[in-house]
Amino acid sequence: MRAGGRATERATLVALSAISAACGGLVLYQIVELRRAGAAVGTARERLALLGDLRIAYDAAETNQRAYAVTGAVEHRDAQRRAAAELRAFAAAPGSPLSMQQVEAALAHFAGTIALRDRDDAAVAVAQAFSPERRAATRDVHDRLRAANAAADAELLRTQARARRAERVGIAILLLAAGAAAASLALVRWSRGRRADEESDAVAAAYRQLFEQTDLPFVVVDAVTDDWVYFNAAVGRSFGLSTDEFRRLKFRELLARTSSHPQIEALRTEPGVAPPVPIVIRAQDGALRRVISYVVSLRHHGRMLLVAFGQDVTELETQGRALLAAQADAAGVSAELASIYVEAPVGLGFVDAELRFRAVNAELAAINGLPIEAHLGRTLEETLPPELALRIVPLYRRVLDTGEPLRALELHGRTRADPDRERWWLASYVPVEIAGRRVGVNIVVVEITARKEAEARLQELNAELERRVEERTRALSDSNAQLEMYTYSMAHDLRAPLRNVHSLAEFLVEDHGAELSPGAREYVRRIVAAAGRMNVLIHELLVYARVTREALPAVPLPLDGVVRDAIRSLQALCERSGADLVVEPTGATVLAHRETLATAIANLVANACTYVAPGTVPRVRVRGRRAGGRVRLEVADSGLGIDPAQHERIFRAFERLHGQDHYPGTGLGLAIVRAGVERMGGTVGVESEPGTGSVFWLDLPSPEPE
Amino acid sequence: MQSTPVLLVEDDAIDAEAIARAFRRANIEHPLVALKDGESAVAYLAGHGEFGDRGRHPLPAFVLLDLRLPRMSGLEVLQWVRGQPGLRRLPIVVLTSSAERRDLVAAYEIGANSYLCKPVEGAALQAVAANAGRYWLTTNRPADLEP
Repeated sequence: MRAGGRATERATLVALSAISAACGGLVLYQIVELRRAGAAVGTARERLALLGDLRIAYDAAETNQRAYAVTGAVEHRDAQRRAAAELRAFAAAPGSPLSMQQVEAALAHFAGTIALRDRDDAAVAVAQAFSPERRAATRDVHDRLRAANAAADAELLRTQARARRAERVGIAILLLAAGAAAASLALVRWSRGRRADEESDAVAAAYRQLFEQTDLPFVVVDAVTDDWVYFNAAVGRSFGLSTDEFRRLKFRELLARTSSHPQIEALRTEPGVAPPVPIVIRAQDGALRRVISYVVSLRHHGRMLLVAFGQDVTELETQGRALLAAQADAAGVSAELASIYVEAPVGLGFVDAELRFRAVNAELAAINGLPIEAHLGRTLEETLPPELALRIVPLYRRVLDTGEPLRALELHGRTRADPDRERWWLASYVPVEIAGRRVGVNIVVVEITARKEAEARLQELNAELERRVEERTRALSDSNAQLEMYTYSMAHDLRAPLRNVHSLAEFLVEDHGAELSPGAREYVRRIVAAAGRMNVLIHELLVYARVTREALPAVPLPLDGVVRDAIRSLQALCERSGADLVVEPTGATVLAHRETLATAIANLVANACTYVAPGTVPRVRVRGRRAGGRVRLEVADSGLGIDPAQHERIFRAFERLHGQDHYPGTGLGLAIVRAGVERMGGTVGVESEPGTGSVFWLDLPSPEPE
Repeated sequence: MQSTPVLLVEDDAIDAEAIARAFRRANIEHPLVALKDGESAVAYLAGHGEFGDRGRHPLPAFVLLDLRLPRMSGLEVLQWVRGQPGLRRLPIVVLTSSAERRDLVAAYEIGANSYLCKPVEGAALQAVAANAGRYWLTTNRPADLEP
């Protein structure tokens, strides 16, 4: 088409030159002028287009950089890269008002922001993207572009006027020069006009499509009448209005719904470009939205047009703020975690699915006895001694195979850290899954060697103690057995001669009774009595030895039955003393060893029947009561009474208050009572004053609940 | 045929005399064979050595056995007796100064037929011995010794 067009033009020129030969140099001049004017119009148009492209590319590069800094969304980064490439290309074109140096500085800055954001330094990236220096640089770029735009605009108008003038003069001359030539010229004009119209239609369609489809609110309005020339659907949405509602609105009414734009009134009268201004718009439902507004005014076919579009950044800002806060929090948390990871006095690490260390902290490195760097990228086999790796690697494999963590596993072995020392650890291996795939194993290792060694020492100590206790027990039971043997033999061996004394006294009386004087008979009687006392002493020593040494297993016993047994054993004594003995039933049950308790009770009753003033009848009361989960048995007498100073003494072995002649006794009776009762978990005591009688009591544990 | 004897195994000569007196005073006609230690008792009951002649040393009607004996204790004698087929049913009466529970238990466990404690008083000892003699010789009915 284009080549054909040029051929036609050339043909026309050939025709015109033929005519101009007739019309003279004036005609020729006009034709050259027309060509020049046409070229100048094209140049001016191209320049304006370039300026627009530059502006769009620059803003796209900057805005996407800012959006990426705030959101970190990769589509912004990709868009920014594309815009940067375009900006470079446009800036390199002849006639660009922006120097390559200026463009490269800006792009370097944007790249820096993006790199910061790539490293997750969102806060710094945002600060850099919105820094006052950067705003100033952008303002400078915008100013240059605006100035160039105005110049190009003026140039376009001038060249267009020149072309029109040349055209008109040329046509007049041509009309005058030749009818045929006029036809040719008409052809030329027609073909050029059609081409321009076609181009302009295509551009308009493209722009319209762009603005219809985009989410950026976009309006074109007559600056004088405030009538809408064009608006897209997005602008209605921004204000919360339907297209029809929006159409009925005047531009001024719309402005009433936005915060003021400082340059809009100026732009109504003079063509110009306002820098991006953040404004707030109030939607129909009262919601406020933040919009970056771009306003341009231009003269078009004698009309002043205001072109405005905006970028709604409400969500972006909200998201950005939340994101910044979250990132700041996350940064804090992750710094804390990192510090814990590094500083924890616990071995921490991570191996990937090939069992290569991907992370290891200082403690785990110290346990393994290798620097941290010596772990990273190396396998367990490469970092652990073979003997230990042989045992541990299968555990890792199991965790990776089954996905089941192993927790608090006790391991022991030697590492390079101290190859001569067996050490103990508590290890946990936890599988790490990402998107359902096992990517490795988290390691937690706590050194427990000190604890283990302490345990071992403790065990040794325990064993040693047990051994010593056993030894001691054996020695003790040996000596106990010897002592028992000794008591047993003593009892037997002492009794045999005593019995012999008795027997011999008997034989003497039997065989020689007739020959004995009454005095001799009295001696024989005293020999027998002395032997009898010694026999009682031996008996009580045996009993005492038994109650102090032998096991006295306690069982529940009816107290009344034990009291009855004890008194039955004293029948002879009771009859001899003629005692007034009253036993009150208690109905109580006690925990005691039957024989020992019976002996104790018998001893107390025997004492009560014995230690009375000569010539008086002993009055003895046996009674009991339950008190505080225990049972108290009392033996009260009407006897001599005991000085409180003697109360403690009388319970000791071999202590006697009375001479043998007055009250016979071994001094063991109460000692047997106390030893026996205390061995059964009870207590004994006495309440007495001289001359008022005594109350001896036993407190015994009871199996019955209180 | 001579009357069946009573075998007394007692190392204390005075006790042995007291028991003999008790038997005499109780008019017990069975002769009292007194031996002083456990080994002799076993020899007599087995018919060994000097006791080989059963005519002169017949098996006793019952045995009065002290526990504390030289050479072989009363419990050992008792155990040996209970192991002899021809002596298993021989009544054995323990007569000892020991009232220790473990002696009592051991004696009955091994197979004593009775357990008597020697009282210290001379008259009481004679009474115990006379009672035992009368009871085991007249009141009690023994089984045959041979199977």
